[in-house]
Amino acid sequence: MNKTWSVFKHEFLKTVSRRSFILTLILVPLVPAVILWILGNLSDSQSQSLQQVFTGGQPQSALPYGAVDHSGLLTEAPDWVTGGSIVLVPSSEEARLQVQQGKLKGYYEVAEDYLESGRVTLYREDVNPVTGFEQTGVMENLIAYNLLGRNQDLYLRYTNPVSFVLEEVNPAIAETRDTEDPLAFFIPYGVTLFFYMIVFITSSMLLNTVGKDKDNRVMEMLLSSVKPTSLFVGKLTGLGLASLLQLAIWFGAALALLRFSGRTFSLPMDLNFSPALYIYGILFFIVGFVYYGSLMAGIGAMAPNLREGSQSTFMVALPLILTLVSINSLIQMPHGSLATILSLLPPTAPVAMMTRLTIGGVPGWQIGLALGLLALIDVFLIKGVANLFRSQHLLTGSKFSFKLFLRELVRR
Amino acid sequence: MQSIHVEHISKRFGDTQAVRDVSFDVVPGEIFGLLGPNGSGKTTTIRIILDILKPDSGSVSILGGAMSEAKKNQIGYLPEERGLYQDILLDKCLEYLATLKGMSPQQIKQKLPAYLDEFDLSSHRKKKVKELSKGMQQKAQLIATLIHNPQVIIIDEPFSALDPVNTQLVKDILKQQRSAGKTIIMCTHQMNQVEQLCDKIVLVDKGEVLLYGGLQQIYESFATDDVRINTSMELPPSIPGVRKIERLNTMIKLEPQPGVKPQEILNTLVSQGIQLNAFEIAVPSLDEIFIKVVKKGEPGDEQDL
Repeated sequence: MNKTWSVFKHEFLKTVSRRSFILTLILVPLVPAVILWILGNLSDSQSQSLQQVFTGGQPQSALPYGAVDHSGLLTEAPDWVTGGSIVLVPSSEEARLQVQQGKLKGYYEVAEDYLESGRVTLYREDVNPVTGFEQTGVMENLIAYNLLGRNQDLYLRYTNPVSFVLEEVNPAIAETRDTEDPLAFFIPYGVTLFFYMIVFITSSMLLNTVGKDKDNRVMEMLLSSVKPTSLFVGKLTGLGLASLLQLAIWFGAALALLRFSGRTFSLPMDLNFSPALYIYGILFFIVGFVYYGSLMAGIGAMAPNLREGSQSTFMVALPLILTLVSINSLIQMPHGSLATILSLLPPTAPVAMMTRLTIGGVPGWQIGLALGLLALIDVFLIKGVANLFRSQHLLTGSKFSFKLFLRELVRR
Repeated sequence: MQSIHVEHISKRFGDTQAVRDVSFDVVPGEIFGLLGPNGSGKTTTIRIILDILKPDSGSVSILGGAMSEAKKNQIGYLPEERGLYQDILLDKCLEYLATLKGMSPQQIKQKLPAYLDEFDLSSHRKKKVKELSKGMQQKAQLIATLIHNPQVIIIDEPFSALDPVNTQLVKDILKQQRSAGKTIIMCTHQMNQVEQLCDKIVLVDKGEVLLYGGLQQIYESFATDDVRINTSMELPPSIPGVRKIERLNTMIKLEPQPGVKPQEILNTLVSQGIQLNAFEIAVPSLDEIFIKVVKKGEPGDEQDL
């Protein structure tokens, strides 16, 4: 236990005192904070100048576009449809003249055979790839309004044709979110991405430290002094705590940034996660980190060098990537078969379960089962990787193969 | 009673038989040479003794039994390839390695400065290990091996990268440790160091023991009646009782006919009026024994002396 503690302390202090760690710790929240602060403190005129950078250097013109109709379809262009950005003009000559006089920004010509061809031509003086098509959507809306017989109700239904209502068959697992709210998608999406990043980044640190110990040839010295299990557990916990510290600081900084950036952003009320979610977050981070950290450390132990080890992590990271790819399905159907299976399988559970937990309504037994299975696999992995530390591969430079890695992992 | 008892250990890696049925004993107060050509199984044997690797068969008893966490604190190990954290300060690196050997911070604080002074590394203690020369790193590694006052010292190529002054320093330290009753296993290719330091050796090749015993016994068993002489006079083309005359660098080697003793050759040379500057029995060097045994070393040729 004393030696595990010594390894833990050494790994933790070595990691947190590393210049790159400190720089990353500070810069990751600092850079967005500075950007947000600058944006938040810009005056209106400065904001406009900044906007010009993205809109081709010219201040956005408030001039409307003209609409010349040869089809006899456009008879009305109400402001509530166009926002005043399109006005009807009787002829092409008149429209061209108004453009030359600076009264119009450009004009549309609706072809005589519009109903057959759908052809509408836009005439304008300059071509800006960013703003060039900004008005075409308004023109489409104007034509749709006239095609629908200028009926306001029909037009409004056309623009928003369906309001889906999802009714859970089992009220026990009913979602607690309002699916209409955009946050209902973005919050689980953000949590999933956040969890994917932290699990992957922190477990990669294990690969790095074991690989470096091998490259430095210090592993043999360590193994002559410490039991492989003590060495591995010390490294795992030391780096895990360093990662948690880093994440806590980043997360705290992000929350502080959102809450106190005043003019720039304000944190939506819906983003107040329940305390249970934080607890589950910590638990799933721990079991997920041990799972992926063990596998990464195992690869570090088996691979002949750090470079080859890093190249071999794809197979280990594949379940996490698959979870990320399935994120839309997970969020849309958080209690469907795919989401349930992914949140119970140990390789995908840390991320998939957190996605579901953010949405809510996950039965307690599923949370317990996912945690239990992961914890069980973690115990097996810790023993397996500790055994790998005894393997000759740790001390030699044999080529890495995933098949061999799995075989060594289960070898008694 | 022996400190290390290695009994019929074998270890295979895939198709390679790294160690095959190796046995030997090492007792306190002796320097034991573990010798063999590159790839002969020396390092694997050491790793099995240290419990870094498990043998496929056979057993190792160290300090009276199987390896334990407490016994690891009684062992000092210097691996062939330097094993130090390159990116941290020298004193921090040594402190950590000493901690893993069970030393308290107070003990380290007390002993480390003296060792750094002895190895002339005090002024480098705040440098990163990677900034030190190879020789300095080797000395730092020796500090990590000795600082916790181990009962068993296992050193693989301890003189690597050391200049003559530091080589002598290390030899003196090893002799002191032997006098203090420590058990020392030394792996090296430098046969002159083995001749000067070792009390007993085992020679392994292709994972098997080819030669095992006390150094003096080994010399005696490989001794011949050959003599070496130095003379400023011209030798006659043939000398009675001498089968072969071989000119070496400054000496002349005389190989007697079977049954003829060196004393008889000396008498013959004197009776022929040959003025001798030097006359010695040609005891084979350990280098010669090493080459002879390894070249001959087919399985089954083990010589237990």
